[in-house]
Parts: sequence; structure tokens; C-alpha cells
Amino acid sequence: MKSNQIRHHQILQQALLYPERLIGYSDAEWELLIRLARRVKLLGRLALTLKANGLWEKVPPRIASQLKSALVQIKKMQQLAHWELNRILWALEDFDTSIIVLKGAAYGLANLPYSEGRLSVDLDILVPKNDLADIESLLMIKGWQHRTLSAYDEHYYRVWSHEIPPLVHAERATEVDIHHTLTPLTSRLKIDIKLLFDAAIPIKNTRIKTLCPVDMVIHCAVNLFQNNEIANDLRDLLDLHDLIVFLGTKEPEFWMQLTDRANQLQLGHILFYGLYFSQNIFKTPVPTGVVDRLHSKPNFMKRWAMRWLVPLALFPQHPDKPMESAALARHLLYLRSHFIRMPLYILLPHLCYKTLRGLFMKKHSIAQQR
Amino acid sequence: MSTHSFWQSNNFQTLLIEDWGGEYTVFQPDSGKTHYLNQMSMHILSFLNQHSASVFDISSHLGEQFEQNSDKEFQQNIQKILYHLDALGLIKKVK
Amino acid sequence: MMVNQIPFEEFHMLLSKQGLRVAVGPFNICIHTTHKPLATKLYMLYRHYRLAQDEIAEFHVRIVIERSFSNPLTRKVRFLLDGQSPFESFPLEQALAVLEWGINLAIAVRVNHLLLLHSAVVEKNGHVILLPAWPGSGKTTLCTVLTHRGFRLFSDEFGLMEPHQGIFYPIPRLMPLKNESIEAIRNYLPEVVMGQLIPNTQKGTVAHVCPSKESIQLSKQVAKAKWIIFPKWIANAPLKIEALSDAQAFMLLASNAFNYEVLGATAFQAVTHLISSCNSYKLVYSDFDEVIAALKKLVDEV
Repeated sequence: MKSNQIRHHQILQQALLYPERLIGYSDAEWELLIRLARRVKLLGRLALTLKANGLWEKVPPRIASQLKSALVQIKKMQQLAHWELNRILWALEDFDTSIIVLKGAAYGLANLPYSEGRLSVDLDILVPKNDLADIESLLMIKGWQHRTLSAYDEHYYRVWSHEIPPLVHAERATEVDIHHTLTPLTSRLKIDIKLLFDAAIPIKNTRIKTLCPVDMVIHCAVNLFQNNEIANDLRDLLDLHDLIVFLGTKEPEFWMQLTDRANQLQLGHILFYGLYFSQNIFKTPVPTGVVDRLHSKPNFMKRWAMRWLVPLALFPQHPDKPMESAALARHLLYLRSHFIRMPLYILLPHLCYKTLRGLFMKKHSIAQQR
Repeated sequence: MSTHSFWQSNNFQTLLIEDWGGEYTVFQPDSGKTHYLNQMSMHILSFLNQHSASVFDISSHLGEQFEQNSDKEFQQNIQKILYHLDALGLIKKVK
Repeated sequence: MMVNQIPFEEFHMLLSKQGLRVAVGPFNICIHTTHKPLATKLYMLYRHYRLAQDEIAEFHVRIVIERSFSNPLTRKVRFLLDGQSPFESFPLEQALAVLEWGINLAIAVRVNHLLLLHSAVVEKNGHVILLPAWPGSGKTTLCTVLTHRGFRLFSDEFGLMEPHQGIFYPIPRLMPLKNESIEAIRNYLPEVVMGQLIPNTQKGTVAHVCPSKESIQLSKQVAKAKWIIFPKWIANAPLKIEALSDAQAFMLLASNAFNYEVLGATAFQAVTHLISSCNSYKLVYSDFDEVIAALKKLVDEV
């Protein structure tokens, strides 16, 4: 089943790819588009796309007010993330370390197009593993705390994860995720994190850095196809597309550097998926021959399965008519995400625990709605 | 916090300040917070916008302004306000 | 066309098939449920609302019935916003309260193109009075009384303000009275149209008062604010109105709004302007006759 055969996928995809076609949308299509875009955190991006194409005046008023609301909220979340970063630097003022800002906040610092329309709730930073304990205790002295975690979750973070349990300041609500590497310690991938620190780019007039352009692209793909469960992650794939379009047209050496780096980090197969689906869904201009330069690629069977599963999971479900096939695809990818992150002897008990906990404690969060 | 630290305002020019007759509401774009400041705190803030100063400098300046003895207790009060303003990010230590 | 202009069968069919769309102030809400007792209640309480079947709806809500996991014999209701469930399920009898509560939540978490103050709002002589929520304010009760005695209802919950012009939008919704207020209102306003008592909700016993037909029909007529009155109900207390300092009124209003912080500088400037153009008071009351007379006197002074 291809994604473009599903009507509601098409409504969202076309809006992002060919915004000029939105003028022909009926009220019912606009309404559905907004509901779908909200589900995958793309309201802000949609609003900026409309503005950039001079189409804002043509948006029906009840749609425009919802897009405007989303932009206001996104601006607020970004301001909160920046302030959290500001306060972290304040708390670590006298401590000499390297801090690399990741994901949404980094896209803003690197002035990526459309970054001001990106909703990010948490602040993600990467620090050297040797400094981790000091940083954690300095922040805790200055008022940051861990949310209450079950002993199991605590163990999960400390022993298997690539980040420590999230920190939140007592007077604020922004969650700070402190990473010491980019993939879980249990996964088969072992990234030489020093390479990333060495190549990181300093931000002017600050003591913080972002990943270098090719590492940023690779991290985006790793996050999507290695660390996440892919459900409703269309936004992250669009991040990848935006990064590639922006960086790929900026530097002539970009593609060579990207494939070399992926090979060096042994992440060729992850980048393969990133490029494949970005091209497939967002028509990302990837020059011919790029993929052939990757040393490791998923085999035919894996590609075939992922081609069926990924779009069903990436795109949001129809809010009124969820499809069983999409639910199955999401479940399979959920299992996959765990399988590639953990060896089986850890995985099976982990999934049992998650399932049992899911049965007894139904978690519903308002934040997910927004 | 050492009493020998020097302080200065932090991004003072970005603040939106509304004077309600000796009481102030202050919007701080960096944090997105609205603060309520009394006359004393606002004096300290605007003083630190003009000079970087130690707690002694501030106390003796304010002592004149508010016609108070710049004694130990007064200095301790100033110190408390400084600690609070620092935590809010309205002022910062001079390095 | 209004809800009471279609037969119940059609109303019920809309609710259970494509969804019933009603205009509530500036928003259209699409409601879906197959739970017939809820349909019956809504047909009575929503009768004056305008149908908006062919228009875009901002909010898509559902009340679904589910069997409890721990006790399969009992049925519960769950609220869904765009297919997502923001909170737990509740006993079947609470369906109406859960729907109304859920719609309020949806408005509170999603609307940011307007400033959402947490306040009852009523209009008199072309301007609105804000009656902000604070502990013990009894704003819904006071709002119910005022809107049945010559004041027009804007909202008992949301001070919906366009931040650049300082214009308030009416958003008349059912007013949920709680506990003792229900009896007090029944005695004082025998003519009031009220839904059935819903006992044992999270907020105790609740009963919903229907806004007047007039306030719903005039809900496109906006107004600016002139008075901000922080009410407090104290049993047997004599009526007292005293001026409140602007800075205090500012902080009370801002610290208790739904999205003041989300709007950032825009909200700061909007509230600054609002406070400067209004008179702010603290009000203590116990007797409804007295408070109506006092507020009428206040709004007639110029």
C-alpha cells in the first residue's frame, strides 16, 4: 500500500509539497488538514509555508486563527527552551565543559529555514560523558530536579539509555534532556562520540555549539529511524528534508561529506532510510549516485517491509476513522524500535514490563494534544 | 554569594516596564515572565543599569534615596533582593 | 437555523452520524455522541444555539461509551478531542458535565490568537464588567444572577479578549452551578432553565444553567471593558465595594489567566491597557438584591 493512495495522507502531503493547491481546498478539506497537521505537530510549519508562498490572505478565517494560535504557542515554547538554556549556562557558569545543543533548539540557533515554526517541547543537549555527573549535581544544586521515576525507569535511563533521566527546574516546566551519546548504550550501533564533539560548530558570542551540518543530518536520521517508534513522526522526516535542502544547496561538498561521514560512523543504513523516505514523501532532491556511496544498506526484505510500514506510521491516523492496517504498522515499528535498541535478553522483559504497566496505568497527556 | 561581587543589570533595555505609581509591573522577554517590583527593587535595577556596583555601593546610594541608615540590616535586605533578582535573571555578576 | 428548529430525531441523527455543529461565540464546535440520554439533555439545553452544519468547526469532540476494564459490567463515558483522550473516563451519568468540561479544556489549551482571562464577563450599557476568578469568588453564581437581572452574558469562565484592540468576545456557554449555589439560584431565580442535578462529580454536585436566548443571539456583539470587579461571597457579610490598586489588579488578573504567559509581550501590553482603561474593585457580598443594585449603580455612574 502506497501512502499516496490514502486520501487523508494526500491532503497533508500535497499541502506541504504544493501549497498553491491549497487554494482549491474545500472547507471540509481545510478542516481535515488542520486536524491532521495538529496531530503531527506541523501546524506551525504549515502556517509558515502559507506565508512564504503569499497565500496567507486566502486562508479561511477559522483556519487562519488556528494557525495563528499555533504560531503563538510555538514562539512561547521556543522562548522557554532558550531561557532554559540561558539558565543552564548561568548555573554552569564556573564549570568548564562542552555543551552541544541538539534538535529543535539547534535548528533555531543555526537559522534553519522554517525553524521558527517548529514546535519543540524539551531542550536537548549533549555533554561529554566524563562531565555528566558534575553537570547533573551542579544543576540539582541550582534547583533542577528529576521527575519521580519508578525504580525500573531509573535503571533504564542509567544503564541502557543515551541520556540521563530528564531534569526540570522547580520553578519552570521545560524538560531538559541531557545526552552523553546519540544512541542507546544497548543498541548495536556504537557511535564514536568524540568525532562529533571535535567537528561541532561554536555559536558566535556564546560557549555553546551545534553539531556540524552533516552530523546534524545524520543525527536527525538516527533519531527517526533508530531511537523513535516512527508513529506520527512526519515532522522529524520533514526536519530531515529541510536540513538537506538547506545544506545541500549551500555547500558543493555537502553530499560527499555526508556519505563519508555516515560511512565513518557506520550509520550508512540509517542515512539510507532517511534519504529514501525523505525523497519518497517530500521529493527531496538527492543527486543520483549518493546512495551507492553508502557502505551499508538495508537488504531487499527490510526495505520492502519498511516501505510498507513507515508511511502508514509517519502519517497521522484519520482522527475520526483510524485504520487497522496503520495501527498494525505502528505496532510492528514499535517492536522494531525496541528490537534495534536492545539485545533480546533485555528486550523481552522490558516489553513485558511496558505492556503490564500499560494495562494498569492508562496514561493520557494533554501535552500530546497540542 | 560574596559581598564583594559586582553586579549589573541583565538585558535591561529589553524590559517592558509599567509604572503604576510607585509599584511596577515588568515584562522580561528572555524569561517570558511578568514581575511585580516595589520601589526599592526597581531603584536597584535601574541603578545597576547605570553602574555596575557592589552591595555596599548600592546600600549607600539607596540609603540616601530612601533616607535610611545604610546599616548591616539594610545591607542584608539589599543582599536578599540581589539574590532574588539574580535568580530571576534580571541582574548578573560582573566577571 | 437554531437547534430547536429541527426535530429531536434529526438532532440525534446529526450527533450520532456526522456530528452536530453548533456556533458557540466565535467558535464552531462539532459534537459527536451515540449516547441518547446525553442527546436528550443537549436538545433541551442547547436549544437556542445556532446550527453550523456547513461551516468549519475549530473543535471536534466526542463522548464515547466504554466498558470499564476493572468492572466490565459498568459503562463509563470518555471525552475525546480529535480522537485523543485528555483525561480519564467517568461514570455514565456525568456525560454532560464531562462534555462541557472537555470543551472548556479544549478552548483553554488551543486558543492563543486571543487572550483568555479566567473571568466571568457580563455586559451592561455597552461595556463589559470582568468578574475574575479567585478563590471563593463564586463567579458563576454571581454571573447567573446578573444575567437574569438585566446584564447580558458574555461568559461565566472565559474573558476572551482581542489583545490589540481590547475587544471582548461573548462566548455564552452553559453555566455549571455547584453544590449550595444550585439551591440558592433555584430559590432566587425560579424562572431559570436548569439541567438535571449531576451528583458526585469531581466538583461535587453540578447543575447546568442555560444562558438566555437573547445573550446567545447577540453573541456577535462585542464590547470593551470598563470595570474589573474581584468578587467574594461571604455568608451574611454586608456589601462592600472598595477600589483596588492597579498593580494589584494587574498581577491578580495576569497570574490567573489561561494563556497570559503564552502570549508574552502581547499579553503584557494588552493587560496594561486593560487595567489603565478600567476601574478595579474588590467586592464582598452575600445578598443578591444588594449586589445587583450596587452594580447597576456603578455602571450608571459616568
